[in-house]
Amino acid sequence: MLGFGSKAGLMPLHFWLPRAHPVAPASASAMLSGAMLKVALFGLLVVTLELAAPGPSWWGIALVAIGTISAVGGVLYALVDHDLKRLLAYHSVENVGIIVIGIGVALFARSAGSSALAGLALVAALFHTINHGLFKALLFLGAGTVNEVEGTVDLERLGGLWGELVWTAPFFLIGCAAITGLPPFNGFASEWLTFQSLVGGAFGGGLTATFVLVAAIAGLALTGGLAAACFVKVFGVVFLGGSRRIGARPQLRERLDSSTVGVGLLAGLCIVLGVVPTLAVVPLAGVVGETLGLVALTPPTLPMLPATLALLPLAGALLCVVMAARRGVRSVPTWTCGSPVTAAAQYTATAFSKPLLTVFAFVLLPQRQRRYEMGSSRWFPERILYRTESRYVVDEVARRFAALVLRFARRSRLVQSGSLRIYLAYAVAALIVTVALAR
Amino acid sequence: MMLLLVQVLSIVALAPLVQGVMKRLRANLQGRPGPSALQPYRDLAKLLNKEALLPHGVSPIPLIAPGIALGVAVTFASLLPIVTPNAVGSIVDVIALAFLLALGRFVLALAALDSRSSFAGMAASREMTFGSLVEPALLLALLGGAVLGHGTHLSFLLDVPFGLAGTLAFAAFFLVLLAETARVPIDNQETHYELTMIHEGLVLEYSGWQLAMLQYAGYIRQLCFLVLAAMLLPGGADGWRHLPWILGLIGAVTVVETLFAKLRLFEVPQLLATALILAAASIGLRVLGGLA
Repeated sequence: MLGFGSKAGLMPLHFWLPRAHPVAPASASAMLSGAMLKVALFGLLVVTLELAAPGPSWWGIALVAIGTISAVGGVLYALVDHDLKRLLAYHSVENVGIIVIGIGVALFARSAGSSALAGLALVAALFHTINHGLFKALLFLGAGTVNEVEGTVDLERLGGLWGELVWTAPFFLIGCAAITGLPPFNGFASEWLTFQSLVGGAFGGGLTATFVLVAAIAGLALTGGLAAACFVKVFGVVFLGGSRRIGARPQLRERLDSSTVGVGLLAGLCIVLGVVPTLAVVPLAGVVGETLGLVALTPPTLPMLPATLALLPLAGALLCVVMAARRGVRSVPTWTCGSPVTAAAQYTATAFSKPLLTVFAFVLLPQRQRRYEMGSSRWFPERILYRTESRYVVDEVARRFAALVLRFARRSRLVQSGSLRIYLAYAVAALIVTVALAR
Repeated sequence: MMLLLVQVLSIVALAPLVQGVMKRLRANLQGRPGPSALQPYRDLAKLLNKEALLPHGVSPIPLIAPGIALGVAVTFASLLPIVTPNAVGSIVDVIALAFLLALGRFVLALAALDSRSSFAGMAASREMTFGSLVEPALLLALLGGAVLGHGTHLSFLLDVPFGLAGTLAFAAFFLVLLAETARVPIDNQETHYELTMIHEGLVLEYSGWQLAMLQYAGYIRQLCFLVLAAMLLPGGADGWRHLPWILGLIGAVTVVETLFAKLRLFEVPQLLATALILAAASIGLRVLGGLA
C-alpha cells in the first residue's frame, strides 16, 4: 500500500509528483497525470480488493482519511502555486485523494457486509478515475498551448488570452468547470456519487467510522470550494482580463487544427459524460458486479440530475444573449475612478489567493520578503519588491530523509574503491565467513 | 406539478417584497423612516428599462453570467420542500444543491475578474474564499437533519425531531444564511465603500437590465435561504406549515444587522468555522442519540 500510495501521489508521499510531471512536455504531462497515476490506483485496487481480501475494516477507514488529507492538501498547495503546470500536478494529488476516498468507502462497506454501498463507492471511484483522465489531459494540453504561445506558464505573466486562443480558451473553461465539479460536467457526476457513498457509509457503521466519514464529507466539501477558487484564479488570470505581457508581440488568432480538435474532443467527452452519466456508470457497475460480485446500486435520480440542475441556468444564459441582441450592450471603459485602465491594476494570481493563504497559514506556512529600493528621496521608495512563498512541510521531511540516505551511501562508498583486487578480497572474505558460519 | 409552479412563482413574486420589508425594518430599528417596502420592485423596473454597459474587450462570460445566476436562483426556489411531493426536490438533493450554488458563484467570480477592475478582482477573491469555507458548514448543517430522516433529499429535513441537535443545526445554518445572503456581520449590502464590500464589489461593473437580473437573483436566493432555515425549525412533516417562521427569521436577521458591527475580514473564517463545529456537533448528537 505504501508503494502504490507513493506512486499514485497520495499525501504525504506526493512530494515527487508536482516536481516531475510539469517538467515533461505538455502531451507527456497529460499522459502521466491522466493515465500513469491510474496504474498505481489499479494496483491499489487489486491489492486491497483481490489479493489481501478480506482485509480488516480499519483499512477502508484509513484510506478514507488518507484520501481526505490528500484532497484538501493537494488543492491547498495548488491554490498558492502560480506555475500553471505544477498547479495542475497538485490537482492530481487532490483528485487521486477523491478517488482513494471512494476506494476506502468500498473496502469499509464490504467488510461491513454492505455490498450495495461498496459497489456504489467503487463505481464512484472508477468513474472519477475516468473523468480525471479526461479533464486533466485537457487542462495539461491547454497549458501546453499557453506555453507555446507565451513561452511561460507563470500565472503572473499571463492574461487575456481569450481573444487569441479562440478554441483552446472555451475548451479550457469546460475543463475548469469539470474539475471543479460544476453541473452539468462529468466531474460533478462522479463527485456527487462519491458524496453519496460517503453519506451512505457515515450513517450506517460504528462511531469511529461515522467520525471519519463525516470529517471526510466536510473535507470533500471544502476541497470542492477551494478547487472552485483555484480554477477561478487560473481561468480568470490566464484567459480573462487584459494581457500582463512585458513587451509587444503581434496579435495572433488560433486556428482549428489537429491539436485543438483533440482538446475539443476531450471537452466534448466531459460534457457527454456529465449530461448522461449513465453512459459510464452502467458499464462500470457491470464490471464491478462481474469481477467482485458487488451489486452496485446507483441512485435512481442520477440520470435526471445534471439536466435538472443545468436547464434553468442555461435558459438564463440564453435569455441574456437574446436581450443583448434585442437591446444591445454598450461597450465602455472599465470604471477605475477616473485613473487610466492598466493591466497592472488587475488582481493577480498571488493577490487572488492571498486571503485563503492567510486563512490556511497554519498549513501553508507562508514566508514573506519585502525589500525597498530607495531612490533620491528617503520617503518614497522607487520600487518595492514583495515575494511570498510557502514552505512545504512534507518536502522538508523528504529532503532530510534523502540527505540521510545520501550520507549513508557516501559512507558505504569507502568500501567501494573500484579496484578489482579489493573486490576479489571481499569475495574471498565473504566466502570464508560463510563457510565458517555454515560449519 | 401545478403546486410546484405555484411555489416557484410565489417565491419569485415575493422575493423583492421580503428584501423591501427587511430594509424598511432595519431602517425603523435604526430610527429612520426608511424607503417603502415596495421600493425593490420599483428599482428593478427602473433598472430593467435602462441599457446595460460592459467593459471593453470582455469575453462572453460577463454577458451571460447574470442569466446563469438567475437560473440558479430559480432552480433553488423549485427544489425547496414547501409542497410535497416535489418533483424537482426529489431529484436534486442537499449535495447537488451545494454544487448548484457553486456554479453561480464560479461564473460571477469569473465575470468579475474579466472586468479588469481591481475592486471586482478583490471581491471575486473574497467571495471564493468565503464561499469555500461556507460549503462544508452548509452541507453538514443540512445533512445531519436530512440523512437521519433516511435520505439526502431536502424533504427529509421535515421528518426529523427538533431537540438540542436541531437547535445546533439551525444555529449553524443561520450563520451560513448570513454569509450567503451578504448580511452584517459578514458582508454589508448597504455599503459602497470599496474595501469592505464583497458581493456588491462582485457586481460593480454591471448596470441596467443585467444589474436588475443579478439583484433579482440575489433576492430570490435570500428568500430561498430563509425558507430553508424555516424548514430546520419545528413544524411537522408539511413544508408549508414551517413558513410562518420566515417572519421571525426576517426579524432575527434585521436585529443582528442592527446590533452587530461588521467583522474584520479575517475574523469571518472563525465565524464560519464555528458554524462548521456547531453542525458537526449536531450530527454527533443525533448519531449518539441513536436516531441513525
